[in-house]
Amino acid sequence: MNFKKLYKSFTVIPFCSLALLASCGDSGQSVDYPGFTAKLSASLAAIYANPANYQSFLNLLSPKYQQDGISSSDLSAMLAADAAALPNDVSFPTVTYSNPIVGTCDANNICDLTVTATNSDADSVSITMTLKVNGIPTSLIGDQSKS
Amino acid sequence: MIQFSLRSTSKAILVLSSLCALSQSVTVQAADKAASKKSGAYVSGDFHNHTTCSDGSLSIQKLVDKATSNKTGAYNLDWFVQTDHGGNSPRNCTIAEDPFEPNTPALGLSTTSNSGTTPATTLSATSISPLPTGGESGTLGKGPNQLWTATLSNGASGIKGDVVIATQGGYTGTTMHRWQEIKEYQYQVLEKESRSRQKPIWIGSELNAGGHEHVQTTILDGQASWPSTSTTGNATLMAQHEYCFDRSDVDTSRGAENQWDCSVTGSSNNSLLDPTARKITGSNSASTPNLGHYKSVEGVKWMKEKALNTSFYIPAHIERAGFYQDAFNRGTDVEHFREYNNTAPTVAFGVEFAPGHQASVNRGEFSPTFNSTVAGYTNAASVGNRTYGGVGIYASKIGGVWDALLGEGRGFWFFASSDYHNRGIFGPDQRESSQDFLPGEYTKMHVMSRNGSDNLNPQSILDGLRSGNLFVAHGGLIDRMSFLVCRYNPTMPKAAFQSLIEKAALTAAQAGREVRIDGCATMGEKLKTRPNTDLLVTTVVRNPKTNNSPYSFPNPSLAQINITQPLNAPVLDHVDIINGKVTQKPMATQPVVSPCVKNSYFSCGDLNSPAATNSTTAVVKRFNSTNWTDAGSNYVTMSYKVSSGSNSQYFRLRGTNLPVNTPNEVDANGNPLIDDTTTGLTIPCTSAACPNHLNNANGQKYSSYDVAAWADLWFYSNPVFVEVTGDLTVAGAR
Repeated sequence: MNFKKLYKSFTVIPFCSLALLASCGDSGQSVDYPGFTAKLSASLAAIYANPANYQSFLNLLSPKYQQDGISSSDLSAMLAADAAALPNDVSFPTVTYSNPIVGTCDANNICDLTVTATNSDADSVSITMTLKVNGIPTSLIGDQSKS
Repeated sequence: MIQFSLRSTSKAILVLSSLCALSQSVTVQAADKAASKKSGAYVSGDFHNHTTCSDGSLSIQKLVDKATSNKTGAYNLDWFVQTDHGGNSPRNCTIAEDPFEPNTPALGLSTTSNSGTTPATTLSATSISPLPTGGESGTLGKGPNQLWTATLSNGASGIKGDVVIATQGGYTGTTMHRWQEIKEYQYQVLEKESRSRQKPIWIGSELNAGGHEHVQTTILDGQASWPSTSTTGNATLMAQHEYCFDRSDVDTSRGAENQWDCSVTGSSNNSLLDPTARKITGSNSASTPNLGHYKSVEGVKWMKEKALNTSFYIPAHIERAGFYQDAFNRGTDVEHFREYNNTAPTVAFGVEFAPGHQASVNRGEFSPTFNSTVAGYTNAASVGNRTYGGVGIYASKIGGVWDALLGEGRGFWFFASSDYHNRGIFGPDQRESSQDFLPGEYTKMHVMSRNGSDNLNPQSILDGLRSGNLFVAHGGLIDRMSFLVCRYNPTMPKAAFQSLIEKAALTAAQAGREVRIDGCATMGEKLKTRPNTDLLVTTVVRNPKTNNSPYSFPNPSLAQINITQPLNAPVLDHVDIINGKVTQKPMATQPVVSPCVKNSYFSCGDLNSPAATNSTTAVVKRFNSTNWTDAGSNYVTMSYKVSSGSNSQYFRLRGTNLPVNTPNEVDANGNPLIDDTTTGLTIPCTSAACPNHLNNANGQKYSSYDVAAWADLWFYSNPVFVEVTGDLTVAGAR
């Protein structure tokens, strides 16, 4: 593992802000959104450090994940193909997530998790975006879009 | 309902605190490509212009002032390379005009029209009477129009080398060889100008290339332009290159006391050197076919040997003199670009696809009869006959010569220049022109200089030119650009990813900088990806809606389609994304033979031959006000999603102020039409403010000269390559 790259990714995760925790549905179990966001960023940092280290990210996906027509198995195949084709460099721009704020949840306990996405390059910008998450433990489920 | 768990919150804070501590204690490593790039900015400049030390009309001082000062009537370029023709000249361009700047720039000084029922092919002093007042003060044997022999302290004895008496610009006298002008006079003035203006200003030469027409050259070695403070600056190597490789430098003295030798280590063509001059003294002729071309290639080899990363060799107005002919000094075909680039890729990395002389009635001076006065020459026409939207056919034709070179994955870039000599019938301080625009007035190259926190300097600019990270715009159509191709991040929602990249692109464009993000590539670079990945092509441009045009009357070209838009406030109409495949690796050099035989390498002047075409090239996306995003303050953002497929490829941009299907300007496919304002009275100029020097017939003025140029504006980007694993490597880009 390239720890230098991994550390670099960590350095730009500004998790010093207020952490939010919440529970979804009727189970009464708490949902640790900041913790989930940290895990998500850590799993992405692992990919950025070594494209073959994508399993921890896949572990955060719901079996029902679907985003922009990409299912969890599609995404698994993409990341595997990337790692095989370009094993030494991640081939896409990288981001970390911070400042999680949970929003509305629908009847299926799919919740909006608003985060700040920041790329970890020399020229860094941030945007606010929404991830679709659900369940306990929390997983990424995507917006269920087919294309 | 959202609830919070204190216990979980505590755990989270613990984890986050650890991360915060980690971030404060670990040094960020500059391990990846983006992080290793110095910060930079797009800076504008010019590397093709003339003084009275060749066939220009200004002193060095006035030319530099016009190009680089921020006075009214000057164009505030960030950097400047002064390049007179090689050969020799009788006038002393180092004597500034007196007074230095005699005229307040003013519009409308011309008082009578270019009369007649047919268009004038050339304006002359007698075609407008009286002449506009307030022309250059250096005429009538003053200022830089004084002879060397009259201005050197030791007169003619101060001129070195073989004695040559010649006439230039109407002045006859004993000439000074250009090598001496460069080495002993012009360089010193330019170094002083550079330091006093605190801008990189240095010297090059417009080489009269053997077998071909002209080439912009420079060698930085020895030169000590600002920010250098060296007291031993010199342009000796530049001067030697001119002596050795300019076909118009007829001196055989070996540079007098310099005793130069023009051999190239290990070159078999050293046998062609004249034993006295120690250079190749002939050129293309019926008895010595291709000799001049051999000399040109030797010049490139010599630069590679002496100045590998500190020189450039950039052919100019490459179509103007027609196709290459082995018995004449004519144009340059695609095979010659291949040979130069193969010989020294760090030296010969592009050409002026957009010529200067944009205000000439023959835009760019391209003409179907350019060579008509040369006896025995069978092909008189400029290649393509004329320019197309101000750009030669090699780059304006989609799938043409430029695309053929890019289709080999070559790092071969689009450049442009002013080629300033004079303003035709107008003086240098007037704002109209019937010939050339001043450096920075109309044509601007915006090149990335990655100088970090250091001062801008010649090497960082030359490195930027070599990198291909630059764009060219005419008439101020755009002045900021961010252009990048990124691989989608599959772990992110696509819309969010696009928002992130667009924000990065906009932020960079607003700052006049580039985007440095791994997984993205910008102009001159290549993005590596595996097959069938999703790519995002994003560009942000600023259309400032103002320019240097003196004319506020409606654009005659747009008036044809009932659009009223002042010439000095051009509005970007659309932007094309052009895509081509990299279909082969750079072809190895094949020896030039006579007669030329067409194959995949040699076009022999056939623009439709496989050697000169890339049939995979096409406009794949067009953006205009209906589908781009207005980002405010004259910025627009465009993004295009596309699959990489399985082939290595490139993307490049062009844009214009003219809609598709603008008569006489743009065809139904959005391609620029031929610029023909000499033989065709095509586009009426109906405003009462249309200036008097325009072509006219029966009292009707027609768009021509500078008005035609201000009416028809284009920009071109350099390409971003995509290298798909398993397919061809893109050899020419980083």
